[in-house]
Amino acid sequence: MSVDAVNEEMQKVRNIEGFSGDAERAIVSSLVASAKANSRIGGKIYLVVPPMYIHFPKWQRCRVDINHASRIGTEYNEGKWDPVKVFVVNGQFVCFEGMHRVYGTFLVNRQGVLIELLEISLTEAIYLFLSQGKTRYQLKPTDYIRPSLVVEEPEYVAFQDICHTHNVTFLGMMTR
Amino acid sequence: MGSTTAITDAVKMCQKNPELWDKILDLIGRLGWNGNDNKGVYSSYNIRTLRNLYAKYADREKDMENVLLTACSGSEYYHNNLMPLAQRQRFDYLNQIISTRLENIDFLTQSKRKAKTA
Repeated sequence: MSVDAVNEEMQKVRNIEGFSGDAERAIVSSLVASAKANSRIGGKIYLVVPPMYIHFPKWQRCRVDINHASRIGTEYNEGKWDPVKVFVVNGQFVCFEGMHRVYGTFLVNRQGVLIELLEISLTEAIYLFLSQGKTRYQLKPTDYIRPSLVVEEPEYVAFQDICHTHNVTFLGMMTR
Repeated sequence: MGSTTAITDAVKMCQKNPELWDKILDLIGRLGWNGNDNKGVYSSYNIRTLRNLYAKYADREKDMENVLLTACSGSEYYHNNLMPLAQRQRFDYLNQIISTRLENIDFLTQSKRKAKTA
């Protein structure tokens, strides 16, 4: 589904709820002012807003994976998902990272989604988006082995047992 | 015997078909490719190649294994013939050997049957 179609779908709900135009700008401005004063934790600003408050930028992805978003919505887990990163442009919350989380929670009618408000401009947001993966550690297949063995995931246990039978080792092997 | 780096392939295999992972490790052990500390014997290159060969010869697994054990055994064989090849080339190389030998075996079996019936 294209981002334009998703924005249109969400805009219809915003219009029905009266969250558009001047009303939207006033609510966003008030939420941001309140959050800056009261919800600043370790230099970061957090607030909870309904997912429909958040717009998707056209400069990021051109498509939204509906299946992926639906899965996130139905299996939403605060411990698993980081807060959605959002910045403000022309009095609107614009999603910087977490488009599928926002749309997923919108699809399942969740009342609120935790967002982290970034105090940056559009250009800064684009540069930050481009550089975000560069210094972040990506999990490797071997990083999953030990935790999976501790909780005894069947495929990992079978993998280890068969390797053990044939005297084959692997990085992350545990003694049982 | 060795160390495997084909974690993703192996775990996926163990999820769907752990017997196949067992068969592949068993076959590599019997082939003796890792006898002389050859690197990458249990790498994804070989694991995928053998997985694809098991899939291709699903109805003649034992024959395929016997051909490999007869024609492609030993760490020196692995070092000289397979190590220089890329993954796709390894499959083509081994598949060529197996298909040729299986054709020969089939031909001989048919010839024997014809001789008996004649």
